[in-house]
Amino acid sequence: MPYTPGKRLIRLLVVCALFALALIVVGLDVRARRQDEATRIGRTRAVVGLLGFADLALSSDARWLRHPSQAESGAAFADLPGALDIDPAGAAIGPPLTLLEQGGTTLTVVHRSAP
Amino acid sequence: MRRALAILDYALGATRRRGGRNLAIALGLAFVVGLVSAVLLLTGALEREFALSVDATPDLVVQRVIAGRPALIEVDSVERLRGLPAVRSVRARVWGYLFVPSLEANVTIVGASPGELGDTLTDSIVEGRRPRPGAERECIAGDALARHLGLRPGDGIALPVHGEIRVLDAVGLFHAESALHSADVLVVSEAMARDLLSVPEGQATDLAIRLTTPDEAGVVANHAEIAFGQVRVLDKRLLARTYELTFGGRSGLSAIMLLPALAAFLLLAWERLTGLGGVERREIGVLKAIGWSTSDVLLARVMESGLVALGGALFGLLAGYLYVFHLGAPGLRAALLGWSTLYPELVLVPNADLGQAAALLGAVVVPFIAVSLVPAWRAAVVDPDEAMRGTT
Amino acid sequence: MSGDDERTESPESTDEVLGVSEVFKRYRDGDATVEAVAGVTLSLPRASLNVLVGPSGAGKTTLLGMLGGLVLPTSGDARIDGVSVVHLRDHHRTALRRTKVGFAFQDLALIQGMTLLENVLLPLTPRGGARKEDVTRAEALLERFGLLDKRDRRVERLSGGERQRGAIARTLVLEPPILLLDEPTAHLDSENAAAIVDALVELRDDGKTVVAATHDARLAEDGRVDRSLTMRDGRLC
Repeated sequence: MPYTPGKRLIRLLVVCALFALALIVVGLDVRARRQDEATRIGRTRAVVGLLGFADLALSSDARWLRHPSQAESGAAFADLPGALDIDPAGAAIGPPLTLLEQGGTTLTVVHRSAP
Repeated sequence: MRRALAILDYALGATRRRGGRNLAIALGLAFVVGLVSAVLLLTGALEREFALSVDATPDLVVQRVIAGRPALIEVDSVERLRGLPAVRSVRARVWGYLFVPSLEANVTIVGASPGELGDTLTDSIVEGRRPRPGAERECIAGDALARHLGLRPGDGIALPVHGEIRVLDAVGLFHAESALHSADVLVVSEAMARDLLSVPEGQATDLAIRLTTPDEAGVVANHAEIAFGQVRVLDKRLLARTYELTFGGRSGLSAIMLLPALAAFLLLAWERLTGLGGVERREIGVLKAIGWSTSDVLLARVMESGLVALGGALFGLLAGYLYVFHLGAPGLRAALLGWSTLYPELVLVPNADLGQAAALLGAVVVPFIAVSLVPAWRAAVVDPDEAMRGTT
Repeated sequence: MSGDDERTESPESTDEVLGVSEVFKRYRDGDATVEAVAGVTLSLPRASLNVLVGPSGAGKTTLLGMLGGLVLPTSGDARIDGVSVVHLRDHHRTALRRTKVGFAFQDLALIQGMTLLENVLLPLTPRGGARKEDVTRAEALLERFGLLDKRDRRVERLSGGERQRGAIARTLVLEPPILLLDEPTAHLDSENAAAIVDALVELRDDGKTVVAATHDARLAEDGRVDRSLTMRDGRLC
């Protein structure tokens, strides 16, 4: 095995080239998928237009899972856009007030006792 | 430049000499990065699917609220909104869920008028044919439903309603392409939908409003509230938030569950690397004794751990991509998407870009290099003889 | 030039290449403090072959380290070619060491997993690696120590003597004017040991300053040695 200082560097280059090739293949895959998407999304929109929901049919369990955007605001564990989160972070960083006000009732206190 | 290359050559040799350990670390890193990137890629792709199709939905949906819960709304009320200037069309929709115990799942029943079917659905969307106008029993079934039941176009579906059996003709099936939206859907005539869902004549599930100018949504929403009392108005522009919330929350939870794994792994790597066995400490002592400066030693170290970390992380990223987009993320799906019996076939399009990938790589590789650098730095700055002592 | 048996102690000696004044080195070993070197003053001229003898634990290795700027004294001063290394910054000290001093220490052995030739060429890496002429020079060095046929063999497959000679060959690849060696003849049979002593004499004749620590009589009592210094308990005696 003769001494060749550059051999390891060449091997590294080959590995880098393989990674680069893999990344390029992934890039092409992404591009191909996005190109197909352009034609597919038109047909998908037709279906969505007919159904009236863009909700994804990922779960056929509870209605607040199947159509979160149409869900009951009063239901437990509601997952709708303006829902109050069940986890503690949701109480700290709630949804914008404008969302909460949608469909809400304005409550005004009428003070009767003397200040 | 020659110096950097020469040190890189040395670092490559060192990486090879500690091949077993480095391979284990790279694989561990690949595993963690692969999982995190799979979670992010999957949720990103679903958010993209939702975001791209959301503008086909009605601008506003008005639900009536009674006792704080959604209730049926009068079909006549359509007229009260139709006159408003910004309103293009108002439709009283009849839709809902039918729980089918044998499927262990809800089927989404959507009532459609014959006109709607003719306008929007082409052969590239539906296999078989569209229901004929007036043919009340004809329907279109979603892909997952059809696959689950083994339906072919023209087959019949029998459903018990009020103790009687209704037989529907599934004349058309949605192509798998739209399964993410139509998997569990049964599109039937409006009359059949009323029958199946027990929605009385003259009432509807909700009102779907399309506007000429979406900016007027607020005005129309106000009118609806005045007209019907308690209502809930869903604005299309806010719907995109739904999935950000849902998947942001779910992927956040998954990511948090991965955090201990990541921490454990970094701890393990730290332990391995701070151990800096006698052999390695002596190696640093040798290098310093034969004229390497501290920065030379550290550069070699950065290169070695950088190669291991970058190689592992990049491999993990590629594996994550393959796992999600070519294998369909088995295992992760259920955790992230929700459990179901009617699974849609996912047609996913990556939403991530190079910047995000680079950010993920950086977030893993940089701390890893730092972790590996500290012990080497400690060994390299002390007197070389102290680094190798214990044998004097 | 050689043959001066008087110990030259004056730091002002114009011919001084290596010098230490009143150097101490203390290590902390748990609660106790170990004094490896306790007040040594020494000045070595150019082109001399010097031998440090003494039992193991006498502080020879530590003194060698301080002479070469590899170990910093706890107190006292150490000079290489008239430059005090104590107050130099690390990279300056490293640069000075790289250009002036070659080490062949027992503990600073060859790196395992690398071939002999790779080890010999290792000091060249921070300078940008080995060029063709460097490889030629390294091969000439290996030939000088009878190792040319082993050049592509991994270190762990060499005998102790071969490693010893390889380590000396490595110190020479940068052609330093100063050579510091720790037990250069250990693990060697008499034939090989004699070859090493001959090589050291030859290097001295080339104008290099050589310091070797040893307890090997074959080296310590060789007639061609200029200076034989005995160390005990960290002191010269």
